[in-house]
Amino acid sequence: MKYFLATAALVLAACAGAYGATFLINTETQEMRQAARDRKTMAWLRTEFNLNQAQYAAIQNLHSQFLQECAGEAAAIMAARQRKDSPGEVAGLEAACVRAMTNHFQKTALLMSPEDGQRYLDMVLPHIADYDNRRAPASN
Amino acid sequence: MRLPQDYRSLARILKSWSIAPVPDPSFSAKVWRRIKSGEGVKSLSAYLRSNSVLVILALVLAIALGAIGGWSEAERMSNSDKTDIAGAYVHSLDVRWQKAR
Repeated sequence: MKYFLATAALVLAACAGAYGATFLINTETQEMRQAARDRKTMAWLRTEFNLNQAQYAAIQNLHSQFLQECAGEAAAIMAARQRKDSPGEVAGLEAACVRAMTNHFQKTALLMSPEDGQRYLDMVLPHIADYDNRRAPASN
Repeated sequence: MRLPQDYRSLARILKSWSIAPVPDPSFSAKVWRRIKSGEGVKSLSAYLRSNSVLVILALVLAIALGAIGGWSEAERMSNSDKTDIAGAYVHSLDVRWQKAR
């Protein structure tokens, strides 16, 4: 009985060791967790979609241009909210923003390899709806 | 040695005392039984060797299960982190969030 328990402890230790080792070997997890913790979205983008220096610079440039272009739309949305314009008007402005953003993500995907670009779109496009999903309970 | 009066009678009794032990007929059998039971006590390594197939099978199974568990947990966390960071990335470009914050 004593040896049976010792053997069982040995087997459990082997199981725990294998669990810990494979968990730690998965370096992607460690890198991802660090990037997520630090909110380094561009660093994540570069690693996740295997961007080379040229692709990364082009995407950074595209993002900057997009944010500049969107500044006007953002101001229009804010002004409409402050004026308490009809929900339809605000929704129209937000829809234009969503279209511009979708278009921007598609342009960004074109700067990546086809596989990475598709994976990028699959990963980011669903998050456009986060805004509506999170606002929904507050509007009730 | 001179003994006190009280002890002289005791000394006589002890001198005259003789023991005639009755031999235990099962003495020999009992000795062999104890020897045999002593042989049955194995060391841990002997126990492992005698159950080597089961022990190896259990170890292989435990390592495989542990590895699968560790890997799938890492994958689950990785996917969760990816979802979080992809959300943060989109929000950083979504002017609706920027102004709503």
